[in-house]
Amino acid sequence: MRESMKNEMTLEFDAISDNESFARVAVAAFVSHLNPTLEEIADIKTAVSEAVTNSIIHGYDNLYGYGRQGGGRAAHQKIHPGKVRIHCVLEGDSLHIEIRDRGKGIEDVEKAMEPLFTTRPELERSGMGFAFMEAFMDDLEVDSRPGEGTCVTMQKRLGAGSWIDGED
Amino acid sequence: MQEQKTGTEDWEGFQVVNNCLMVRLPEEVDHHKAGIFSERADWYIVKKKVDHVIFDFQDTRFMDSSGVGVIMGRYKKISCLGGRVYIVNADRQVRRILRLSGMDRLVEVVEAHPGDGKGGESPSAENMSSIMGKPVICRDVSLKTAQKAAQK
Repeated sequence: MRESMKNEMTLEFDAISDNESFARVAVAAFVSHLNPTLEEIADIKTAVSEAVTNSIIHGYDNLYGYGRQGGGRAAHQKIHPGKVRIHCVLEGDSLHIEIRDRGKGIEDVEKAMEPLFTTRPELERSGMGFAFMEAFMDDLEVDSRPGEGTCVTMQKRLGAGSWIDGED
Repeated sequence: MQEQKTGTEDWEGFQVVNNCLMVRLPEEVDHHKAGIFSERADWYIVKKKVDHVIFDFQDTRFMDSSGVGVIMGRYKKISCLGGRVYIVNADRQVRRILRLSGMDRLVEVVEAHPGDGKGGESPSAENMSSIMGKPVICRDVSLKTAQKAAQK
């Protein structure tokens, strides 16, 4: 039986796509001492990636970062200033993640959470962001006010056994 | 917006074999990396008029919904032109994402290791044409088998 522990971290970074990879890897590294399974790590990385990407492209409208992969050219689009803040709390075997932005917010959260719904079809993302967060985490809450920003709260119990066990 | 293609060299990760576009995706397919791959694949579909698109996930260890968008967008375009999308060398993580998004029902997920799951020949640009000649592509059978078993 693991002794009940509490561990907390906060991360704040610029809302540019270059940081999407950094954000999910940082959260994954934060939980690594609990010896999570590969599935749990993949779940957390995907969920964090979805939430952070939403903040960057929808919250702050930063579609491109600095220098896209392989392109080596300066972004032709202006980078809007803004920060994404990740707050993680590990309590026992429970991971609590809060991903907050001060971007433009979501008009209709319920609608935004519908699978395949997107306000930016031209970006050709899949509209599956919230669906993935819901599927990969145990609990998901979205709090948003237009003009003020969005806060996504997710929970996951680690070591609870993976739902994918035996599937492959 | 659209990148101008100069010269005859293919972009890194892009290859046309038997008029099929083979796209080797990067280690992490997220929003940051996805855009340029979609744009370039579209160039081959629209300008080069390739028949089919094959996404090779050999190097890919992470994919999120932006990656699904890359495949879905290309699927929409190529299927309008009568072509198909194939996915090869997808690992467990990528397969879960494909399954969860329902993409595995739209595109052909080709088993990387047919048979015993070990040592099978991995699909490559060269042997894909023989795979595609077959009417039925080996899909993700394990899930269907598991679902059937669960219903009993």
